[in-house]
Amino acid sequence: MINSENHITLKNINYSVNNKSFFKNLSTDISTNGITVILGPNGSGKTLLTKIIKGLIKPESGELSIKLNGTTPNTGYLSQNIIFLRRNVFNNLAYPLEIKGFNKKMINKRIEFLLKYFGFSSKKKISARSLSEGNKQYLSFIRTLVSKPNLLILDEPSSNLDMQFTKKVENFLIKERNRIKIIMVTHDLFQAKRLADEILFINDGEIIEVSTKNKFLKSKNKLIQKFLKEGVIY
Amino acid sequence: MNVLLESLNLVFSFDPDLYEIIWLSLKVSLFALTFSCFLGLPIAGVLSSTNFTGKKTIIIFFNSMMALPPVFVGLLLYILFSQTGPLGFLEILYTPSIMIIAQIIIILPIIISVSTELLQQMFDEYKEMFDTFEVDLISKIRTTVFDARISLVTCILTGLGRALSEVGAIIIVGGNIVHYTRVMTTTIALETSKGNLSMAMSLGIVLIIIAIALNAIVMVMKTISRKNSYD
Repeated sequence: MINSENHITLKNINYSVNNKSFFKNLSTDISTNGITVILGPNGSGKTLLTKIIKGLIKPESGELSIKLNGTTPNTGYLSQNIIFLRRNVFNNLAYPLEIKGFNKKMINKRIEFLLKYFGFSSKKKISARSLSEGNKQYLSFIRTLVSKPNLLILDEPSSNLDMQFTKKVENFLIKERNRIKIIMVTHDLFQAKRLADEILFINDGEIIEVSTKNKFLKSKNKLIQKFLKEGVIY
Repeated sequence: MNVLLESLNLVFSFDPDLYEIIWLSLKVSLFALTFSCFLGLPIAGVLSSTNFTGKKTIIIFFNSMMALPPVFVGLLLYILFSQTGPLGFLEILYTPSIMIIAQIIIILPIIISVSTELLQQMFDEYKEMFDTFEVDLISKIRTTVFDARISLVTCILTGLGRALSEVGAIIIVGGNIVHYTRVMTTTIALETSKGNLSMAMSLGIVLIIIAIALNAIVMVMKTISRKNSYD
């Protein structure tokens, strides 16, 4: 068992996809501060890794332990698969709080604050399912924040966003990086360079490197060098 | 043509006997529908949002029950509730109560099967979101039922339509007793056999009006739903 006030540890994780072993004894420690960016080619296991960290997928064996300030963190998770209730923007944002039993006054206060902060107030009465793909992703990002998480797991949070929304999301992440531990998947190397404190590079279910951004950018690993040369994930 | 005019005259002259029959039909069917919804929707909610051994068997059972011939339901209830039957002491044969029971047996499987299918689709769609927010079972059921409410109304009205049009079971267990257990469908069967076509036709017209009204309600609700674009 891992003993520490703060840790995000995966130990000997095994997981099969289509009856083929994908994660084989995957072990790593992720920094408990700042922004950790997960990079890797398509199908390398980035999304699977985030789902395991969030607890949406249970590994066949191995140990996952997350403690922030000595307690199990309140986790906000943004999936690539964006799902909204058949309700308007406000009610979709209110849902995570409603099911936790928060009173209406508190819910209203929190949602109004977030809508104003992210410049989305004008859309609060619109059906969430009728929004554009970009707006859906933006709303989904806002929804991950309603319960004031201290661990944010974001799977490609800005893949459909325009420059303006991407900037808002990035500014928020930079502003909150000391208060919230952020683990995010991105395909955008430039975004990784802008945001990352730590980079985890994964390929074919195997973690190739976990290091600080500066160390990662000077990595001698051929796969990483190729990736850095091409600028985007192939 | 004469039959049609006479039957329209009966409908719009607000003949008390005719409206007594219509009222009893609606009362029996609405009681049966309400009970079936209270029992059926939670069952559908649990079936659609949980996995357990025997779930498929239960779904197959309710699906099969949808095809249950009403006359057979009537016969079974007659055997059970006749004076020599095991439940004969309740003395409810030839009363509106047993007609309600018969209709519940007929429409409950429809409510359960159709709404399970509907809720299952929505539950599968919402599953990852439920897991992400760690939603408990009761909240999952409440959320899917609430979000599927417009489609569920269609399903419920299908049940009501089935109840109102039912004749085989209630004629056996109700006995078609005038001023007591006589409903629209049993009256149509009786009056047609007697050659009183205007009375039978007038009830047929009322049944059609009810069917159109039910469909109009569904249409209006769907239009409101689309207007809000929540679907």
